Amino acid sequence: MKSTLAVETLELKISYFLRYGVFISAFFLAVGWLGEFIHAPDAISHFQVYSPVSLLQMIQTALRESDIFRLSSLLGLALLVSLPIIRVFLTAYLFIRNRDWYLASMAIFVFGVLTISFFLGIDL
Amino acid sequence: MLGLWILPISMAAGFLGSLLGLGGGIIIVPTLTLLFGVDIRYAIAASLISVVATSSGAAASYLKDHLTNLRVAVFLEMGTVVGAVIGFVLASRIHAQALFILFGFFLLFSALMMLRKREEHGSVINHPWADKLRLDSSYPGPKGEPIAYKVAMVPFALVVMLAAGILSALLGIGSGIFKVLAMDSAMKLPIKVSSATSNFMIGVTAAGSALAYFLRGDVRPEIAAPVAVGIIAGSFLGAKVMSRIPAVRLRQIFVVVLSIVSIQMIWKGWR
Repeated sequence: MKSTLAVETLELKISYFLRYGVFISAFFLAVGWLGEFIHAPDAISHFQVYSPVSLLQMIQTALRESDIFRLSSLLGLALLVSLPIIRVFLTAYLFIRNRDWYLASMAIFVFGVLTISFFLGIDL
Repeated sequence: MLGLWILPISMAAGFLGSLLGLGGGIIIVPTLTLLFGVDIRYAIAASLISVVATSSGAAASYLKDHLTNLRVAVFLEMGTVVGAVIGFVLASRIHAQALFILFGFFLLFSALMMLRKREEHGSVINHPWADKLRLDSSYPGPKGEPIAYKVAMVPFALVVMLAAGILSALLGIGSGIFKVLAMDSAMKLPIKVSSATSNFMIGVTAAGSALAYFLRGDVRPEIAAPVAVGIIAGSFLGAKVMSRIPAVRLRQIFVVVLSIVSIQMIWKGWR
């Protein structure tokens, strides 16, 4: 009974984290997209040919041109992408707090593989 | 104004993806490339964002509604991430053409098998590992009453997840379909729990790839931002509908999508 309650509390905490995380990133994405859409409604059709521009270059250009809408979109995307990775870390932390060692070690393992593969340039 | 169409299409992708635990990639990539003429690399990057958005967008509701089995998800994620790394290493050494045909037929066969199951076919006993890890749980029935379920064939499911991770890396497809199939057919989880748990898991591996694409600059805000906004809205809607939709209907929709994906795979391998 106690363990069921612990899991439910844990699920609720992760649920709130994801809910607020998604809301905040959606807000930044919506503001950024609407702002850019008003200025260039058919921007999407300009990507028929692949011409790589790194994230750093995109940020530098947006800062130089004081493009707050572009910066808002990038912030929203960064938040959105980091949510599942932080979620794995949070799961591990909460399992440790519940002294659920098996599941905690599994979550740590997943987080470790994700981190190592990212730094080794392995595209999952 | 063509760009405005991306929003409702992404909403539909998010709705279907969250309902079936598959992510929205199967709709987003063809839409961006065929309808908008977007280069495939930008389309794939946006599709990874769509998977992350579907997963996180619906996961909050599924966790709160006790449809996602968090313990099963964490356990199976081990297989998926290790499989994805192995798949990445093997990708340059294996010719994937034949695999497309092989697994296309396998998925088609699985679709037929799923169609034959009219009702939930839960396991009556837990696998010893499920007891040890306390993987069994309950989910809300049509009137909100808790329906308990057991978890079978746990080690086999972990091996299937490993294979799913390898295959999705080799074939360049999302592994949601394999995840739902393994949880439904091997672990004997209810279809709603399988879909919700798969939805929870797909975000993790997609986020790893999405981060790499994002840093490389392939995730263009002009494409990915409307896709993500639409997907998030659609996935919230999907999560609301999931608790009300009958399990048999969900299974039927899954079978239709599974059949389409399998035919696409066979076609890709044949060309």
